[in-house]
Amino acid sequence: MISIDQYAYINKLRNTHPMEKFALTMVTLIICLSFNSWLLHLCVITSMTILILYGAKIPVSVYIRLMLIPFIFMIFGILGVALRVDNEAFIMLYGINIGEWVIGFTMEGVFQAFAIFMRSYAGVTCLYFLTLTTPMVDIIWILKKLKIPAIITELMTIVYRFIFVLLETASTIYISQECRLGYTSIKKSYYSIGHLLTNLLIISFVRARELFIALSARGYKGELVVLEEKYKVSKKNILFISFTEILFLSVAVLF
Amino acid sequence: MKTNILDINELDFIYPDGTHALKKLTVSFEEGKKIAIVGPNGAGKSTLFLVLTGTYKPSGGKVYLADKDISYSRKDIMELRKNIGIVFQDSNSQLFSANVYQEISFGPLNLELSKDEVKRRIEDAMIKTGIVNLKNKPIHFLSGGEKKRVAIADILAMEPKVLLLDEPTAFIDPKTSNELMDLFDEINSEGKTIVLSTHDMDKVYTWADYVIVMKEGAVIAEGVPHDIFLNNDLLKEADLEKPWIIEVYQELIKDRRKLVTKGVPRNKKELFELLVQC
Repeated sequence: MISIDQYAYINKLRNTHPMEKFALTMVTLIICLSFNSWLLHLCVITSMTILILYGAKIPVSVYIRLMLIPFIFMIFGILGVALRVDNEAFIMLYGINIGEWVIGFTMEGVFQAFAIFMRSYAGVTCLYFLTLTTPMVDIIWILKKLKIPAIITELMTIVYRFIFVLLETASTIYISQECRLGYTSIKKSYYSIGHLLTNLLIISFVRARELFIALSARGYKGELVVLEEKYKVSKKNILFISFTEILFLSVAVLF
Repeated sequence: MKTNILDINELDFIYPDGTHALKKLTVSFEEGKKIAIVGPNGAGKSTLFLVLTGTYKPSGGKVYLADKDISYSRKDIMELRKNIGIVFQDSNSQLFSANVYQEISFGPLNLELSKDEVKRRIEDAMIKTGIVNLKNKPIHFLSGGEKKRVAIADILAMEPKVLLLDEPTAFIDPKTSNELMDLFDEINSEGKTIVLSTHDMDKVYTWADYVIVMKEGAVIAEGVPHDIFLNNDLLKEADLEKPWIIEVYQELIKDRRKLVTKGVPRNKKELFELLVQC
């Protein structure tokens, strides 16, 4: 999670207009989910991967590691779709006999699993493109522009900021416990982790109070008003996005 | 003519749990001065700051902002906050946004200024605190010293008359803390009053125009730095450490009567000049 967050700030597409990146992601995602064409999904995976690796310059090793995360979940999901239990062995491409039953793959099942696999990965690459190139602050900015209620965007702002404060606090407590041999046996570990968590809860309350005091001292009146910097709209990018989406649509419709 | 920006008269503050944090505290801050508040932990320094920014309502006593009686009504509290800015000791509890630019814009926007004025103030505060290069970095990537600079820029952008700094050099490395002290000098030279609380007596001695000593919720002494730090009884009573310059000076003049007339050295340079004459 942290590494995605870091790349969001240092990638080469960081200063591209957030709405352009968001539009590319969302429109592609909608096309992917509306059409069941594996060729389309393959096109999306390829183009998003090229954008992530060559556009945003995310290291290949990081990208592969990220792509492996959903893979594990997907394997189990796909097995459920592809495997079939039947008592007629002849429809199976490959099967294992258990008594009079056969567990195996059918042509139809394998193809369906493949389609689901491609579609999921197409969606995953779209979302990776957005999260790897757009920092949370920009995503919140997009939501504000889309007129999402202020309560949600303000909460997101504060939650995002304080995730890091909380992680820092948790790691300090963990290290201090470890230095005092708090994790040397299972029993001690349970005890220590329990204290860590209760402490974190209390610290969160204290933090919330301190934050309220600090915001009040700066004239907080119940609304987190902030000024955002302007992004440059690029005609070139908009043209590129439109062209790509038309291409995806034609692949989806024609094949 | 000297004018006071803040007059505090017999201020009392009792926390809900019964802790009597401020006891009939009377003190005045002269406009345009560099004031240091010193005293042991629990002396009430931070509580005083929070009362002065309208976070806590005093249980008794009066606060005057430029001779105007502050009643702690909503309107008066807003008035206090416009004029008095506070930088908290722990930057993490002050910084709410992950983006430096947004973070600094919050205060001036609450003052209901025009967008152009807010932008000007943000740029100005970022240049003064030396954080222009951090503009596009998220706050959680910054070091402690950098976060402190952002926290100071937060308040500078509101252009308050008085800047309260709660232990600004705590947990900060010597180089950064010296740079911060220089920054406070620079802000002060624009006519702003600076009030800082600290435990670093060496810094107080060379930096402050005026020192206020607090203990157990009251002011037990105030004066120019060398008056405070030459008073052994007072230092003992308030558990304060003697600045090393004073210590060396006192050792030096023990049996050299003629050096006494030269006056107490204010900084390292003056002390070295005195050493040469021995």
